[in-house]
Amino acid sequence: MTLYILRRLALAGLVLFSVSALTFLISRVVPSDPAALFAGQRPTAEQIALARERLGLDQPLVVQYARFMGDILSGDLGISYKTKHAIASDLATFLPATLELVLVSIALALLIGIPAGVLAGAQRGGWFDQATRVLSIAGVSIPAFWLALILQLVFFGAWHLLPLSSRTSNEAAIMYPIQAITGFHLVDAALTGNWTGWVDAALHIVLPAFTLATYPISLTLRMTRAAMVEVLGEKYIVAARAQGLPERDVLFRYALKNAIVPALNVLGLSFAFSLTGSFLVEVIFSWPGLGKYVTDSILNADFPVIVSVTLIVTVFYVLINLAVDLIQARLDPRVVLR
Amino acid sequence: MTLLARWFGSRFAPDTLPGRLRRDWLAWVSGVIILLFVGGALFAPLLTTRAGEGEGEPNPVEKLEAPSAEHPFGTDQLGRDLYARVLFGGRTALTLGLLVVAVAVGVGVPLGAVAGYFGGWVDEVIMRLTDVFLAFPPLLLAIFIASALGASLINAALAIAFTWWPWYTRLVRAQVVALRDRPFVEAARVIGVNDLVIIGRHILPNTLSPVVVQATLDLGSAILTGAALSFLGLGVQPPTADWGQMVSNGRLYFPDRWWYVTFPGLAIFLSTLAFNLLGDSVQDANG
Repeated sequence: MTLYILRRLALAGLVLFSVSALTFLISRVVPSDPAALFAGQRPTAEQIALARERLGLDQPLVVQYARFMGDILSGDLGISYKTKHAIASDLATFLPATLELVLVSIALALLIGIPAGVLAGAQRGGWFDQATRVLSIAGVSIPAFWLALILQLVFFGAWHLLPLSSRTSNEAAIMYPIQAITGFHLVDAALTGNWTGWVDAALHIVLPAFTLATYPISLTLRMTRAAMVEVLGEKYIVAARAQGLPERDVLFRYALKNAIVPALNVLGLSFAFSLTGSFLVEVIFSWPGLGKYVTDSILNADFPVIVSVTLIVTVFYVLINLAVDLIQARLDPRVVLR
Repeated sequence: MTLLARWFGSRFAPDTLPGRLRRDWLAWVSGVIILLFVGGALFAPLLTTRAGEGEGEPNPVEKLEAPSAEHPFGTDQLGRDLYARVLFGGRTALTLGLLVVAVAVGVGVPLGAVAGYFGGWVDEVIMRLTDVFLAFPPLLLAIFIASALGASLINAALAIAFTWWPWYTRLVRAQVVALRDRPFVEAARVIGVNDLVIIGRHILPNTLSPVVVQATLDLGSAILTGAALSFLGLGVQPPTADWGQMVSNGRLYFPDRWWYVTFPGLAIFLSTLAFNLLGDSVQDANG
């Protein structure tokens, strides 16, 4: 076990190093003129010269890489041309809004995907299985940015049930402002007992979180179903049924315990999809998070921001996958042997 | 028995992969949608009287009109018929999908073959390289590369292919490992055939069919990813019609002109859905 953890940690370290090297290489080698790209939109000759100086493009690549890593490790990610702020401080501002959205959508994925997957697997070939099969394939095929618009059209335009966009309504922001503690509106409002603000924030998160969750829900559902089908064929399930245990206990207590480990595999992937999906969804819901920051940067050719976000989000993703692997090893000792 | 009845007649379908597929009604539905989509893209100029608008000519007298008999999907901010634009957008989507898959296969397959055939450190290096590429969230890496390359259809396709080749490398490597010690390969080696010739002439042809199946099914995801990139402004540039770009433009007139985002988005959804449904049926019939 210890050996497995050490090996897994070493591998993650190696991957993190390679990821940073590849990000660096793509940013310096792929563009025809990196200095012009780093100098922002329609740069003057002076700005390009300045960017070339800062990037050290006349130096060998190894020296440039050392500089790149040195800057990042000391927390200096460069300056955004659009906001004129240090990218690191921009990220600190925008990240909590995105993380709140992503965490809520992953919670939705688990709460809907796992039970639905268990039921679909339990009546394999039945109507529920067929329906969830089509729905989950639709869920991975639908463009998130389009689904977001359609949901707005239905829930705001036609039924007036949910707010159109942003994190809070103007009235609530003035009357019941949410005090920033963690940056997560739902947590902060609950901590300060601001329940009117909490309800307002909760109503605002429903549509974006559900849009982001469609992909992870579908993925979790399919994985859980596949794992359940396999587990339900085992003899101990037959034994449990023969003993006359209620079907609910058989499914959710005996079968799910063994089915959940492979289903957890998708957690890392879901996280990646929600994070990058937020790039497409936040811009439509005017959600003031990382995604909106990135899309603005793409429109403004703010390349330094794109490089930093790519690196930071990927580091996050690698760490999440590491955590998922370690949790799996803890839950299922067989993982270690593989 | 008529040909049609023979194809539909589930009781007569043999218990092979195509036979089992034929009994799956979802496979049929998805096949029909794919045919409509490919046909619409190929014959776009013949399927509309407004091919010029489909290619980008503005028509300022009919701006942002709601769907009608004349314009089944309505018109856009330049008065162009959205039905024609969606048809021509299908050409962009299909071109992008084919480019992505071609480049990803072209890079991934040879690397996988070399890794699987030679093994040892060559294998180790190539497979660790795939690990690094797969460590990035796929859409994020594509966005990053596309913004480094600059916005265009070819660059978007290259950016996506760059994040996809590792899957083909892994697929082919697994196949080649299973083949490399088979008697016909050893026979070739014994009589002194060059390694690269063995790979190219004797091994790769045997790995082709799973690769072709996978590549066809991947077209759907390629279209979806391409639409996301062009929605973000990293795809083909106007006046060429593109579904993702149309949704992005239509957003400015949303929700009053609901049709502008609805139909191009529906096209992305349905074409991706068809390929994914077919993929699921193939998997089902295989397993």
